[in-house]
Amino acid sequence: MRGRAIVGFFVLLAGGWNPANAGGIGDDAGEGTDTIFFGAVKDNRGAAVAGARVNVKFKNMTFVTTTDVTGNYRLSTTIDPDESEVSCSKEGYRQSGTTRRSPSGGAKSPVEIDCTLQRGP
Amino acid sequence: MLRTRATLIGLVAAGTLASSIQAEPISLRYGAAYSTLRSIYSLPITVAEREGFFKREGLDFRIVVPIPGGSDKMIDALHDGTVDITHVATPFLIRKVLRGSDAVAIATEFSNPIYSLVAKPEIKSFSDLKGKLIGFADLSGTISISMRKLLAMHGLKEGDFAVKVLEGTPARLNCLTRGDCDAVALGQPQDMAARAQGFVVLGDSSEATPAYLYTVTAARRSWAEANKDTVVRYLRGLRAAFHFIRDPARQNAVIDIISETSGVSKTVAESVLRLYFAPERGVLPREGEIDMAALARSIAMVAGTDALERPLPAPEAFVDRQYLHAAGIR
Repeated sequence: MRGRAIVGFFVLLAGGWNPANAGGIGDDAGEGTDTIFFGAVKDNRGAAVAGARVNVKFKNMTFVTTTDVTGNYRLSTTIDPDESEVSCSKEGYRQSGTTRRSPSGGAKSPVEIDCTLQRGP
Repeated sequence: MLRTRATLIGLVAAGTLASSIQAEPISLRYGAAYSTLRSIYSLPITVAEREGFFKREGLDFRIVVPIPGGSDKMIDALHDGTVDITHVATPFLIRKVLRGSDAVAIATEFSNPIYSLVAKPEIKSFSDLKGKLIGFADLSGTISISMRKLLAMHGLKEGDFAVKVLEGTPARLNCLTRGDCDAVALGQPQDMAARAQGFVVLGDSSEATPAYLYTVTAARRSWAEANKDTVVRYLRGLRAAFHFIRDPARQNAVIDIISETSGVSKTVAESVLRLYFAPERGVLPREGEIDMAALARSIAMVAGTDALERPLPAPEAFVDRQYLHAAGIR
Protein backbone atom coordinates (compact mmCIF):
# COMPACT_ATOMS: atom_id res chain seq x y z
CA MET A 1 0.00 0.00 0.00
CA ARG A 2 2.74 2.41 1.01
CA GLY A 3 4.80 1.58 -2.07
CA ARG A 4 1.79 2.17 -4.26
CA ALA A 5 1.22 5.54 -2.58
CA ILE A 6 4.75 6.70 -3.24
CA VAL A 7 4.69 5.53 -6.85
CA GLY A 8 1.30 7.22 -7.37
CA PHE A 9 2.49 10.49 -5.88
CA PHE A 10 5.51 10.87 -8.15
CA VAL A 11 3.66 9.57 -11.15
CA LEU A 12 0.98 12.23 -10.71
CA LEU A 13 3.40 15.02 -10.08
CA ALA A 14 5.11 14.11 -13.31
CA GLY A 15 1.87 13.55 -15.15
CA GLY A 16 0.15 16.84 -14.41
CA TRP A 17 -3.27 15.46 -13.51
CA ASN A 18 -6.10 17.89 -14.11
CA PRO A 19 -8.92 17.50 -11.58
CA ALA A 20 -11.26 19.50 -13.80
CA ASN A 21 -11.07 16.80 -16.44
CA ALA A 22 -11.63 14.08 -13.91
CA GLY A 23 -15.17 15.37 -13.23
CA GLY A 24 -15.97 14.30 -16.74
CA ILE A 25 -18.89 12.46 -18.08
CA GLY A 26 -19.16 10.13 -15.13
CA ASP A 27 -20.80 12.70 -12.93
CA ASP A 28 -24.46 11.78 -12.72
CA ALA A 29 -25.25 14.89 -10.76
CA GLY A 30 -24.25 16.84 -13.85
CA GLU A 31 -21.88 19.16 -12.05
CA GLY A 32 -19.37 21.20 -14.02
CA THR A 33 -19.85 21.21 -17.76
CA ASP A 34 -23.45 20.31 -18.40
CA THR A 35 -25.20 20.33 -21.70
CA ILE A 36 -28.92 20.25 -21.21
CA PHE A 37 -31.30 19.10 -23.90
CA PHE A 38 -34.98 19.67 -23.30
CA GLY A 39 -38.17 19.95 -25.28
CA ALA A 40 -41.41 18.26 -26.11
CA VAL A 41 -42.61 15.50 -28.39
CA LYS A 42 -45.95 16.19 -30.07
CA ASP A 43 -48.03 14.57 -32.74
CA ASN A 44 -48.88 16.37 -35.98
CA ARG A 45 -52.02 17.84 -34.35
CA GLY A 46 -49.96 19.34 -31.54
CA ALA A 47 -50.97 16.85 -28.86
CA ALA A 48 -48.32 15.78 -26.36
CA VAL A 49 -46.91 12.27 -26.88
CA ALA A 50 -46.14 10.62 -23.56
CA GLY A 51 -43.69 7.71 -23.37
CA ALA A 52 -41.94 8.63 -26.62
CA ARG A 53 -38.28 7.72 -26.84
CA VAL A 54 -35.90 10.64 -27.38
CA ASN A 55 -32.46 9.76 -28.73
CA VAL A 56 -29.47 12.10 -28.56
CA LYS A 57 -26.73 10.69 -30.79
CA PHE A 58 -23.15 11.78 -30.18
CA LYS A 59 -20.28 10.00 -31.91
CA ASN A 60 -20.65 6.29 -31.10
CA MET A 61 -23.07 6.85 -28.21
CA THR A 62 -26.78 7.36 -28.03
CA PHE A 63 -28.37 8.80 -24.90
CA VAL A 64 -31.95 7.60 -24.59
CA THR A 65 -34.73 9.01 -22.45
CA THR A 66 -38.52 8.99 -22.57
CA THR A 67 -41.06 11.79 -22.42
CA ASP A 68 -43.19 12.28 -19.31
CA VAL A 69 -46.99 12.36 -19.23
CA THR A 70 -46.97 15.91 -20.63
CA GLY A 71 -44.76 14.91 -23.54
CA ASN A 72 -41.72 16.74 -22.17
CA TYR A 73 -38.20 15.49 -21.70
CA ARG A 74 -34.95 16.75 -20.18
CA LEU A 75 -31.55 15.21 -20.55
CA SER A 76 -28.31 16.38 -18.94
CA THR A 77 -24.97 15.28 -20.37
CA THR A 78 -21.52 16.69 -21.01
CA ILE A 79 -21.49 16.25 -24.78
CA ASP A 80 -21.02 18.99 -27.37
CA PRO A 81 -24.52 19.90 -28.63
CA ASP A 82 -23.11 21.04 -31.99
CA GLU A 83 -21.99 17.48 -32.67
CA SER A 84 -25.17 15.82 -31.53
CA GLU A 85 -28.29 14.76 -33.36
CA VAL A 86 -31.71 14.42 -31.74
CA SER A 87 -34.47 12.11 -32.91
CA CYS A 88 -37.63 10.64 -31.40
CA SER A 89 -39.67 7.49 -31.85
CA LYS A 90 -42.67 5.62 -30.57
CA GLU A 91 -44.34 2.45 -31.75
CA GLY A 92 -47.12 3.27 -34.19
CA TYR A 93 -45.56 6.61 -35.10
CA ARG A 94 -42.90 7.89 -37.44
CA GLN A 95 -40.83 11.03 -36.99
CA SER A 96 -41.89 13.92 -39.21
CA GLY A 97 -39.52 16.63 -38.00
CA THR A 98 -37.55 18.39 -35.31
CA THR A 99 -37.28 22.06 -34.35
CA ARG A 100 -34.10 23.22 -32.67
CA ARG A 101 -33.79 26.47 -30.71
CA SER A 102 -30.26 27.33 -29.67
CA PRO A 103 -29.71 29.42 -26.55
CA SER A 104 -29.14 33.13 -26.97
CA GLY A 105 -25.88 34.96 -26.40
CA GLY A 106 -23.65 32.35 -27.99
CA ALA A 107 -24.13 29.86 -25.16
CA LYS A 108 -24.19 26.20 -26.10
CA SER A 109 -26.65 25.03 -23.49
CA PRO A 110 -29.53 24.58 -22.79
CA VAL A 111 -30.68 23.40 -26.20
CA GLU A 112 -34.41 23.16 -26.84
CA ILE A 113 -35.41 20.56 -29.40
CA ASP A 114 -39.02 19.71 -30.11
CA CYS A 115 -39.84 16.61 -32.08
CA THR A 116 -42.94 15.81 -34.10
CA LEU A 117 -44.34 12.33 -34.60
CA GLN A 118 -46.97 11.31 -37.08
CA ARG A 119 -49.19 8.27 -36.75
CA GLY A 120 -48.26 5.56 -39.17
CA PRO A 121 -45.51 3.03 -39.87
CA MET B 1 -23.49 -26.83 -72.17
CA LEU B 2 -25.90 -23.90 -72.03
CA ARG B 3 -27.63 -25.48 -69.09
CA THR B 4 -24.32 -25.92 -67.24
CA ARG B 5 -23.39 -22.29 -67.95
CA ALA B 6 -26.78 -21.07 -66.70
CA THR B 7 -26.38 -23.16 -63.56
CA LEU B 8 -22.91 -21.70 -62.98
CA ILE B 9 -24.18 -18.14 -63.49
CA GLY B 10 -27.00 -18.90 -61.08
CA LEU B 11 -24.60 -20.21 -58.46
CA VAL B 12 -22.31 -17.17 -58.84
CA ALA B 13 -25.30 -14.80 -58.54
CA ALA B 14 -26.53 -16.64 -55.45
CA GLY B 15 -23.05 -16.49 -53.97
CA THR B 16 -22.78 -12.76 -54.64
CA LEU B 17 -26.19 -12.17 -53.07
CA ALA B 18 -25.24 -14.25 -50.05
CA SER B 19 -21.98 -12.38 -49.54
CA SER B 20 -23.72 -9.00 -49.87
CA ILE B 21 -26.25 -10.08 -47.25
CA GLN B 22 -23.40 -11.27 -45.04
CA ALA B 23 -21.57 -7.97 -45.50
CA GLU B 24 -24.48 -6.05 -44.00
CA PRO B 25 -23.37 -5.29 -40.42
CA ILE B 26 -25.47 -6.75 -37.63
CA SER B 27 -26.85 -4.12 -35.28
CA LEU B 28 -25.97 -4.58 -31.61
CA ARG B 29 -27.03 -2.06 -28.95
CA TYR B 30 -24.88 -2.20 -25.82
CA GLY B 31 -26.15 -0.46 -22.68
CA ALA B 32 -23.86 1.40 -20.32
CA ALA B 33 -24.56 3.67 -17.36
CA TYR B 34 -23.57 7.29 -17.77
CA SER B 35 -20.98 6.94 -15.01
CA THR B 36 -19.38 3.90 -16.62
CA LEU B 37 -18.40 5.38 -19.95
CA ARG B 38 -15.55 7.58 -18.82
CA SER B 39 -14.43 5.23 -16.09
CA ILE B 40 -11.80 2.52 -16.25
CA TYR B 41 -14.64 -0.01 -16.38
CA SER B 42 -15.40 0.82 -19.99
CA LEU B 43 -11.86 -0.08 -21.04
CA PRO B 44 -12.56 -3.46 -22.72
CA ILE B 45 -15.46 -2.06 -24.74
CA THR B 46 -13.59 1.11 -25.67
CA VAL B 47 -10.60 -0.90 -26.86
CA ALA B 48 -12.81 -3.23 -28.90
CA GLU B 49 -14.55 -0.24 -30.46
CA ARG B 50 -11.45 1.79 -31.27
CA GLU B 51 -9.44 -1.13 -32.59
CA GLY B 52 -12.30 -2.25 -34.80
CA PHE B 53 -12.73 -5.67 -33.18
CA PHE B 54 -16.54 -5.52 -33.28
CA LYS B 55 -16.50 -4.21 -36.83
CA ARG B 56 -14.20 -7.08 -37.81
CA GLU B 57 -16.85 -9.44 -36.45
CA GLY B 58 -19.44 -7.84 -38.70
CA LEU B 59 -21.18 -5.89 -35.93
CA ASP B 60 -22.67 -2.43 -36.07
CA PHE B 61 -21.91 -1.88 -32.38
CA ARG B 62 -23.61 1.08 -30.72
CA ILE B 63 -23.43 2.27 -27.13
CA VAL B 64 -26.74 3.31 -25.61
CA VAL B 65 -26.97 5.30 -22.37
CA PRO B 66 -30.40 5.18 -20.72
CA ILE B 67 -31.34 8.45 -18.96
CA PRO B 68 -32.20 8.46 -16.14
CA GLY B 69 -29.73 5.66 -15.74
CA GLY B 70 -27.47 4.19 -13.12
CA SER B 71 -26.30 0.73 -12.24
CA ASP B 72 -29.73 -0.44 -11.06
CA LYS B 73 -31.46 0.51 -14.34
CA MET B 74 -29.39 -1.51 -16.79
CA ILE B 75 -31.34 -4.78 -16.63
CA ASP B 76 -34.57 -2.78 -17.02
CA ALA B 77 -33.11 -1.42 -20.26
CA LEU B 78 -32.84 -5.02 -21.54
CA HIS B 79 -36.48 -5.64 -20.71
CA ASP B 80 -37.92 -2.43 -22.19
CA GLY B 81 -36.02 -2.98 -25.44
CA THR B 82 -33.71 0.03 -25.10
CA VAL B 83 -30.65 -2.22 -25.46
CA ASP B 84 -29.81 -5.76 -26.61
CA ILE B 85 -26.97 -6.45 -24.16
CA THR B 86 -25.69 -4.43 -21.24
CA HIS B 87 -22.83 -3.71 -18.91
CA VAL B 88 -23.99 -4.41 -15.35
CA ALA B 89 -22.50 -4.94 -11.91
CA THR B 90 -23.29 -8.43 -10.62
CA PRO B 91 -25.42 -7.44 -7.56
CA PHE B 92 -27.93 -5.68 -9.81
CA LEU B 93 -28.08 -8.69 -12.13
CA ILE B 94 -28.50 -11.09 -9.20
CA ARG B 95 -31.36 -9.09 -7.66
CA LYS B 96 -33.22 -8.76 -10.96
CA VAL B 97 -32.91 -12.48 -11.67
CA LEU B 98 -34.21 -13.31 -8.19
CA ARG B 99 -37.22 -11.10 -8.99
CA GLY B 100 -37.95 -13.00 -12.19
CA SER B 101 -35.77 -11.48 -14.91
CA ASP B 102 -34.43 -13.93 -17.49
CA ALA B 103 -31.19 -11.92 -17.79
CA VAL B 104 -27.90 -13.80 -17.55
CA ALA B 105 -24.21 -12.97 -17.60
CA ILE B 106 -22.61 -13.90 -20.91
CA ALA B 107 -19.07 -12.59 -20.23
CA THR B 108 -16.93 -11.00 -17.54
CA GLU B 109 -15.81 -7.41 -18.11
CA PHE B 110 -14.08 -6.69 -14.77
CA SER B 111 -13.47 -8.77 -11.69
CA ASN B 112 -11.85 -8.09 -8.34
CA PRO B 113 -12.06 -4.27 -8.50
CA ILE B 114 -9.86 -2.13 -6.28
CA TYR B 115 -11.62 0.79 -4.59
CA SER B 116 -9.75 3.07 -2.22
CA LEU B 117 -11.26 4.83 0.78
CA VAL B 118 -9.84 8.34 0.39
CA ALA B 119 -10.24 11.01 3.10
CA LYS B 120 -9.54 14.69 3.67
CA PRO B 121 -5.93 15.47 4.64
CA GLU B 122 -6.84 16.13 8.27
CA ILE B 123 -8.29 12.63 8.66
CA LYS B 124 -5.37 10.44 9.58
CA SER B 125 -7.07 7.20 10.65
CA PHE B 126 -10.33 5.27 10.50
CA SER B 127 -11.30 6.43 13.97
CA ASP B 128 -11.21 10.05 12.74
CA LEU B 129 -14.18 9.16 10.50
CA LYS B 130 -16.60 8.90 13.45
CA GLY B 131 -19.47 11.29 12.87
CA LYS B 132 -18.16 12.24 9.41
CA LEU B 133 -19.81 12.11 5.97
CA ILE B 134 -18.64 9.37 3.59
CA GLY B 135 -19.49 9.31 -0.12
CA PHE B 136 -20.57 5.83 -1.21
CA ALA B 137 -21.84 4.36 -4.44
CA ASP B 138 -25.30 2.73 -4.56
CA LEU B 139 -25.71 1.23 -1.10
CA SER B 140 -26.70 -2.17 -2.41
CA GLY B 141 -23.69 -2.49 -4.72
CA THR B 142 -20.40 -4.25 -4.10
CA ILE B 143 -18.41 -1.01 -3.78
CA SER B 144 -20.46 0.06 -0.78
CA ILE B 145 -20.60 -3.47 0.62
CA SER B 146 -16.80 -3.77 0.53
CA MET B 147 -16.33 -0.26 1.94
CA ARG B 148 -18.66 -1.01 4.87
CA LYS B 149 -16.70 -4.21 5.51
CA LEU B 150 -13.45 -2.25 5.43
CA LEU B 151 -14.85 0.28 7.91
CA ALA B 152 -16.16 -2.51 10.15
CA MET B 153 -12.74 -4.19 10.12
CA HIS B 154 -11.37 -0.95 11.53
CA GLY B 155 -14.02 -0.61 14.23
CA LEU B 156 -16.61 1.58 12.51
CA LYS B 157 -20.16 0.26 12.34
CA GLU B 158 -23.38 1.57 10.79
CA GLY B 159 -24.40 4.76 12.54
CA ASP B 160 -20.84 5.77 13.39
CA PHE B 161 -20.71 7.77 10.15
CA ALA B 162 -23.16 9.47 7.77
CA VAL B 163 -23.47 8.37 4.14
CA LYS B 164 -24.08 10.27 0.93
CA VAL B 165 -24.80 8.20 -2.18
CA LEU B 166 -23.05 9.43 -5.33
CA GLU B 167 -23.02 7.47 -8.57
CA GLY B 168 -19.61 7.24 -10.21
CA THR B 169 -16.07 7.80 -8.98
CA PRO B 170 -15.81 11.30 -10.59
CA ALA B 171 -18.89 12.49 -8.67
CA ARG B 172 -17.47 11.19 -5.41
CA LEU B 173 -14.10 12.80 -6.13
CA ASN B 174 -15.89 16.12 -6.72
CA CYS B 175 -17.63 15.75 -3.36
CA LEU B 176 -14.27 15.22 -1.66
CA THR B 177 -12.42 18.04 -3.42
CA ARG B 178 -15.30 20.48 -2.77
CA GLY B 179 -15.08 19.60 0.90
CA ASP B 180 -18.65 18.31 1.13
CA CYS B 181 -17.58 14.72 1.82
CA ASP B 182 -15.02 13.84 4.49
CA ALA B 183 -14.12 10.59 2.75
CA VAL B 184 -15.18 8.78 -0.43
CA ALA B 185 -14.75 5.47 -2.26
CA LEU B 186 -12.69 5.99 -5.42
CA GLY B 187 -11.60 3.70 -8.23
CA GLN B 188 -8.65 4.21 -10.56
CA PRO B 189 -7.18 6.49 -11.62
CA GLN B 190 -8.91 9.09 -9.44
CA ASP B 191 -7.74 7.50 -6.18
CA MET B 192 -4.12 7.95 -7.26
CA ALA B 193 -4.81 11.50 -8.37
CA ALA B 194 -6.48 12.42 -5.08
CA ARG B 195 -3.54 11.07 -3.10
CA ALA B 196 -1.21 13.26 -5.12
CA GLN B 197 -3.31 16.26 -4.11
CA GLY B 198 -2.72 15.49 -0.45
CA PHE B 199 -5.80 13.42 0.31
CA VAL B 200 -5.28 10.36 2.50
CA VAL B 201 -5.83 6.78 1.37
CA LEU B 202 -7.01 4.94 4.47
CA GLY B 203 -7.31 1.52 2.85
CA ASP B 204 -8.72 -0.34 -0.13
CA SER B 205 -11.49 -2.81 -0.81
CA SER B 206 -9.16 -5.74 -1.46
CA GLU B 207 -8.28 -5.74 2.26
CA ALA B 208 -11.90 -6.48 3.15
CA THR B 209 -13.27 -8.65 0.36
CA PRO B 210 -11.93 -11.68 -1.49
CA ALA B 211 -11.89 -11.61 -5.30
CA TYR B 212 -15.42 -11.49 -6.71
CA LEU B 213 -17.06 -11.01 -10.07
CA TYR B 214 -17.66 -7.28 -10.51
CA THR B 215 -19.08 -6.31 -13.91
CA VAL B 216 -20.38 -8.51 -16.68
CA THR B 217 -22.09 -8.26 -20.02
CA ALA B 218 -25.66 -9.46 -19.60
CA ALA B 219 -28.42 -10.35 -22.03
CA ARG B 220 -31.89 -11.79 -21.69
CA ARG B 221 -31.84 -15.57 -22.20
CA SER B 222 -34.65 -15.25 -24.73
CA TRP B 223 -32.85 -12.58 -26.76
CA ALA B 224 -29.49 -14.36 -26.65
CA GLU B 225 -31.08 -17.65 -27.74
CA ALA B 226 -32.67 -15.94 -30.72
CA ASN B 227 -29.45 -14.07 -31.60
CA LYS B 228 -26.77 -16.64 -30.86
CA ASP B 229 -24.58 -15.69 -33.81
CA THR B 230 -24.59 -12.00 -32.77
CA VAL B 231 -23.68 -12.88 -29.18
CA VAL B 232 -20.78 -15.08 -30.32
CA ARG B 233 -19.49 -12.32 -32.61
CA TYR B 234 -19.64 -9.88 -29.68
CA LEU B 235 -17.71 -12.28 -27.44
CA ARG B 236 -15.03 -12.79 -30.08
CA GLY B 237 -14.63 -9.00 -30.33
CA LEU B 238 -14.45 -8.69 -26.54
CA ARG B 239 -11.87 -11.48 -26.36
CA ALA B 240 -9.71 -9.62 -28.89
CA ALA B 241 -9.93 -6.53 -26.65
CA PHE B 242 -8.69 -8.44 -23.60
CA HIS B 243 -5.82 -9.90 -25.63
CA PHE B 244 -4.96 -6.39 -26.84
CA ILE B 245 -5.01 -4.90 -23.31
CA ARG B 246 -2.75 -7.66 -22.04
CA ASP B 247 -0.31 -7.50 -24.97
CA PRO B 248 2.90 -5.69 -23.85
CA ALA B 249 3.43 -4.55 -27.44
CA ARG B 250 0.10 -2.67 -27.32
CA GLN B 251 0.67 -1.00 -23.96
CA ASN B 252 1.11 2.52 -25.37
CA ALA B 253 -2.19 2.31 -27.23
CA VAL B 254 -3.97 1.14 -24.07
CA ILE B 255 -2.38 3.96 -22.08
CA ASP B 256 -3.63 6.46 -24.67
CA ILE B 257 -7.16 5.11 -24.34
CA ILE B 258 -7.16 5.24 -20.52
CA SER B 259 -5.76 8.74 -20.63
CA GLU B 260 -8.39 9.98 -23.07
CA THR B 261 -11.36 8.34 -21.38
CA SER B 262 -10.41 9.23 -17.81
CA GLY B 263 -8.92 12.69 -18.42
CA VAL B 264 -5.63 11.83 -16.73
CA SER B 265 -2.08 12.03 -18.04
CA LYS B 266 -0.46 9.12 -19.82
CA THR B 267 1.88 8.67 -16.88
CA VAL B 268 -1.06 8.16 -14.57
CA ALA B 269 -2.71 5.81 -17.04
CA GLU B 270 0.47 3.76 -17.12
CA SER B 271 0.43 3.49 -13.33
CA VAL B 272 -3.09 2.02 -13.52
CA LEU B 273 -1.82 -0.75 -15.79
CA ARG B 274 1.05 -1.42 -13.40
CA LEU B 275 -1.40 -1.70 -10.51
CA TYR B 276 -3.51 -4.24 -12.41
CA PHE B 277 -0.82 -6.32 -14.07
CA ALA B 278 2.49 -5.97 -12.20
CA PRO B 279 1.91 -8.23 -10.40
CA GLU B 280 -1.23 -9.76 -11.89
CA ARG B 281 -4.19 -8.97 -9.61
CA GLY B 282 -6.93 -10.64 -11.59
CA VAL B 283 -8.75 -7.37 -12.25
CA LEU B 284 -9.39 -8.23 -15.89
CA PRO B 285 -10.30 -11.65 -17.28
CA ARG B 286 -8.02 -13.31 -19.83
CA GLU B 287 -10.70 -13.56 -22.51
CA GLY B 288 -14.04 -12.69 -20.90
CA GLU B 289 -14.37 -16.05 -19.11
CA ILE B 290 -16.69 -16.25 -16.11
CA ASP B 291 -15.18 -17.45 -12.83
CA MET B 292 -18.04 -19.28 -11.10
CA ALA B 293 -16.31 -19.24 -7.69
CA ALA B 294 -15.95 -15.45 -7.96
CA LEU B 295 -19.63 -15.19 -8.90
CA ALA B 296 -20.53 -17.31 -5.86
CA ARG B 297 -18.70 -14.74 -3.72
CA SER B 298 -20.71 -11.94 -5.38
CA ILE B 299 -23.91 -13.81 -4.47
CA ALA B 300 -22.67 -14.14 -0.89
CA MET B 301 -22.02 -10.39 -0.77
CA VAL B 302 -25.55 -9.68 -1.95
CA ALA B 303 -26.90 -12.20 0.56
CA GLY B 304 -25.19 -10.25 3.33
CA THR B 305 -27.16 -7.10 2.56
CA ASP B 306 -30.41 -8.56 1.25
CA ALA B 307 -30.86 -11.33 3.83
CA LEU B 308 -31.29 -14.01 1.15
CA GLU B 309 -32.60 -17.35 2.34
CA ARG B 310 -30.12 -20.21 2.59
CA PRO B 311 -29.05 -22.22 0.74
CA LEU B 312 -27.97 -19.41 -1.55
CA PRO B 313 -28.85 -19.68 -5.24
CA ALA B 314 -26.27 -21.47 -7.39
CA PRO B 315 -24.10 -19.26 -9.65
CA GLU B 316 -25.39 -21.21 -12.66
CA ALA B 317 -28.77 -19.46 -12.23
CA PHE B 318 -27.20 -16.17 -13.30
CA VAL B 319 -25.00 -17.31 -16.16
CA ASP B 320 -25.20 -18.84 -19.61
CA ARG B 321 -21.75 -19.93 -20.77
CA GLN B 322 -22.81 -21.65 -23.99
CA TYR B 323 -21.95 -18.49 -25.96
CA LEU B 324 -18.48 -18.24 -24.46
CA HIS B 325 -17.92 -21.88 -25.39
CA ALA B 326 -19.22 -21.28 -28.91
CA ALA B 327 -16.73 -18.39 -29.19
CA GLY B 328 -13.93 -20.72 -28.13
CA ILE B 329 -13.56 -19.21 -24.65
CA ARG B 330 -13.29 -21.58 -21.68
